[in-house]
Amino acid sequence: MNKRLLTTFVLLLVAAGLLFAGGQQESGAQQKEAPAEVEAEEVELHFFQFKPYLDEEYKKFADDFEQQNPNVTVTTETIGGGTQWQTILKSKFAAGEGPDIFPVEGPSQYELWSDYIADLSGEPWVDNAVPFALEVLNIDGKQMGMPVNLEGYGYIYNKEIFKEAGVTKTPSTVSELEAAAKKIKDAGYTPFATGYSTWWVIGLHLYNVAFAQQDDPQAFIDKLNAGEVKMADNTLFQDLQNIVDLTVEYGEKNPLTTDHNKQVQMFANGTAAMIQQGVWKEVPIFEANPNANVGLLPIPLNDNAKMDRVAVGVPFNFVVNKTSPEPVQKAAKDFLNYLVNSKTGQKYMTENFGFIPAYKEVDPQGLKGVGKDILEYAGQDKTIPWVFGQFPDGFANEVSNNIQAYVADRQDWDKTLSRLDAAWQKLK
Amino acid sequence: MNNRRMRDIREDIFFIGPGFIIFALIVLFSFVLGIYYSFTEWNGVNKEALWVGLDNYLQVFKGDEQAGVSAVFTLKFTLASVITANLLAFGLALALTLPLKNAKLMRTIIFLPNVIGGIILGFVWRFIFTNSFVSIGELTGSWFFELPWLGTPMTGFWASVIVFVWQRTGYLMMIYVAAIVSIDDTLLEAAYIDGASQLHMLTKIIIPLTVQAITVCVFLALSWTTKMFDVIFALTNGGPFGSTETFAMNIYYEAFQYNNYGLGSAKAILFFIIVGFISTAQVLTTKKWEVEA
Amino acid sequence: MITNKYFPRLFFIEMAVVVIALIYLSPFYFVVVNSLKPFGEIIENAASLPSTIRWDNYVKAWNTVSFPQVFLNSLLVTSFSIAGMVLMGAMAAWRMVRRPHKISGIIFVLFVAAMVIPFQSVMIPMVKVAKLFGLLNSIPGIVIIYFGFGMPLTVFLLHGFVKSIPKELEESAYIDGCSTFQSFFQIVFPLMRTMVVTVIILQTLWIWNDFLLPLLVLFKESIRTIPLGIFSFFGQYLNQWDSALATLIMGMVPIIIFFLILQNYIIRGITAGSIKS
Repeated sequence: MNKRLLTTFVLLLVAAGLLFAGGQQESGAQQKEAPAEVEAEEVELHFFQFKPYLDEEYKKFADDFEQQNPNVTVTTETIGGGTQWQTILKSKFAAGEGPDIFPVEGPSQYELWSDYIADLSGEPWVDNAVPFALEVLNIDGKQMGMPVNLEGYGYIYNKEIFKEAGVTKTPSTVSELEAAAKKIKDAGYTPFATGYSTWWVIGLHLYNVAFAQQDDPQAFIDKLNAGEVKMADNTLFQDLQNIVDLTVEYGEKNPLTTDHNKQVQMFANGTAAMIQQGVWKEVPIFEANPNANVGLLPIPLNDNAKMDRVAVGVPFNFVVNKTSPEPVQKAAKDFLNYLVNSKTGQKYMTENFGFIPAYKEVDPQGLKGVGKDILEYAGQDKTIPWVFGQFPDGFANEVSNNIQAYVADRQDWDKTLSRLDAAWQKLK
Repeated sequence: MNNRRMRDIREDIFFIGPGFIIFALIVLFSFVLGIYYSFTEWNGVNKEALWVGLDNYLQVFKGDEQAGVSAVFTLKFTLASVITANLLAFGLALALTLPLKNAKLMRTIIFLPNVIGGIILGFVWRFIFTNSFVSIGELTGSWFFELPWLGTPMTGFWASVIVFVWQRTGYLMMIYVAAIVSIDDTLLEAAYIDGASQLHMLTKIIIPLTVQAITVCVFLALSWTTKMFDVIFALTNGGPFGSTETFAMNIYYEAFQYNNYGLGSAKAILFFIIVGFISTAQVLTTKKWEVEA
Repeated sequence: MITNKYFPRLFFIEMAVVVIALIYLSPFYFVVVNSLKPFGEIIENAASLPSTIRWDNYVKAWNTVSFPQVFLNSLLVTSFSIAGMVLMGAMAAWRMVRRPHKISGIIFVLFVAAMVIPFQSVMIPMVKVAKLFGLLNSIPGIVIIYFGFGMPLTVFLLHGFVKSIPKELEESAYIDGCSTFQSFFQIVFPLMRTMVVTVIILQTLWIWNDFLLPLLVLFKESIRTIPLGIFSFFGQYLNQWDSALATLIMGMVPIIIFFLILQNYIIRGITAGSIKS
């Protein structure tokens, strides 16, 4: 009798499964099988982005696009929640509900999504983009992603405090930075709010500098991948210790307790003079103090003159899902082109989003202290690239853990670098 | 087959069927798929997952330092939290079943933390540890508030315990309150008249009569702490240097940040087996204790 | 419990409990205070009282997350999920206790074992399964998923409780000619109410605040729940605390009221002597 019962359960399971699956197939068929090749056919475009504070602005932009293209309905979806947007994207694709446009941060992420990314080589915006911005997702000569804006980071500094402390020349080497920090400390301020408890402050942005200052960062990464060089043997990585030591010595009391929110807080209320952050933190800084007088300094590793360069990069590229139906892909490409290549789109980028566009002949508007400084460095060709998009998956976590362990005196710098070498080899 | 048996089966299906079938289709089915992925190499995105047999399992045992660290953290966290939360909850339940003036209000307040969800709770507490504790420390000079909260493995650990206890005591307390109130007053009065000491009444009457509630509460606390994810994810994000990473977070990072979905699934299966073993042991021991009591 | 005299020792116990309660309450100070400040003020000093009380954050949050809509969605998802899982869970638990046999024993072990599965480890397969059964992107869909994930704890708690209900009542009902169905719905289910209320509170707290599951299966903006609304204010580099905290408080209030109502029910149920250990 037990057998019978079991059979009944199994039958019920199967029956329920068929029932659900059947219902599902029907609705699936309705969505996908739109007749192709009809003029101005109705298209639903699913647009996914990850900057919550721009959600409303993107929606307004999408409305504008819809007016120009009455056959297209755009659904804008914004997922923030820290780094969870990537997890969500994965589950959407797993469910076969992948969006038609989504962001990709760099080559490592490109590799992850390569099954789904359409070639954008022939798009009209390609000619107008800043060449180095195109490089990030130029894969084997094909343009796989569309850069939108440039972002930069370094030490955001409070010009008033610098003036008060008598720092007249903006420091660009480790010695100069140390001298400035000393004066600031004597004037009664905390020179740095390090934010070393936040993984991306260390793992992405700080560690990037040692890569980006290499004579040929790309060649260095290639050699690292081939196992021909070690970070532990490289002077710049050894010199990275200087800046970590300096910021910790002249930083707040417990650097590992401070996160990126606390950094901004200490900076905005005038206790800290410098924070290692980027242009994205201007929003809260100016919210707290609309008259803030701020600028951006490079992150030096030693006293070499070429340290006077700030890190400027493409934070993300928009890509088009190549598994979407043909008409949807076309609408997606139009949408992207409209964003960066039309007067309306450019107005949105500069005025509404506050972006530094990655496109020639687009005048950035409404830039504030940090943004202006980035443009100035870029104008003088004093920039280093963002290469952390090429870190193997999970490497930034390892960097953050190991440098935190160094800051906490758990291991010395040699050990830190050798462990990171091992981590790179394991994760690559 | 006689009619009675047929009726029994029909009734079994009617009563147990709907719940079990939905549970099986959603949870068990997903879990079985997860077992399948644990034998594959898959980044969570590609259309095809590559079958690799037992490789993922071997890799876990071959030396995954961070997985070891997170397993030890989870174990310590579980022990400290389950004990602290249950003792405090039981103590509060004893106090709040006395005829206090504001018992109901106090119960509500202590229950209140349960109404905030995990991730936001972690963010709020992170803020309290890194901001308010510092301010209070400066104001009072008390060593407790001047500790580098969340900045060292030790403070990260205790911060996690504090937040867990703060969040969950109220719930456990409600269960204990329910159990204590239902003890027959005449038993206690008789003991009181016999001149029994307070301690004697606690150990010989109250605890034995609430042992069922203790089993439930310990089990609940165990299943919360061993699976702990979102609160600590937002509170410490595993830092500093991975010292406060729970095993559930380790699985999550492996699957979604290191993009080794297969390896992450293998860890999840091993984790399931271990925790299942611990929970079964716990339930069996307290069940035995229940019988003896 | 023993004596109603409010003697000094009780007073000290009361003081101690009040102190603990105040400590428990203190984190809410930050939530409430900061929800009334403009963003800039939160950044500058998050511990201070607001310079002036402003309801702007609430107005803004109410509009940007379309609060009435997300509130209604949360309400629908939570109430239907709870109703279904409690009914199915109670039926299954009772049957398993009263008519145990090998298969129902195995099923019970499966339920208990499933309580140990960390959600993160089944979430991608779960989404695939949900897609297969057409449960994505709809409120009835997520309700069915919650049935599945909610069954284990519901059955576990009720299973333990049914054992403490005396069999005699049901047996006399059978003798009076009641069917199994009648005796369950008319006699047993009402007797389970204290534990049912406990289950309802626990599961409501979970579903009302749940973030990851709805994030994975509800994509359409029109069916978002409250936690999804709160998290729409959080990014990797920037958190909009002002709107997030205001939304958090608006989402908390209904559940606190709900708890207060049910708490009365529990306490009354207990003192009426319907629970026996």
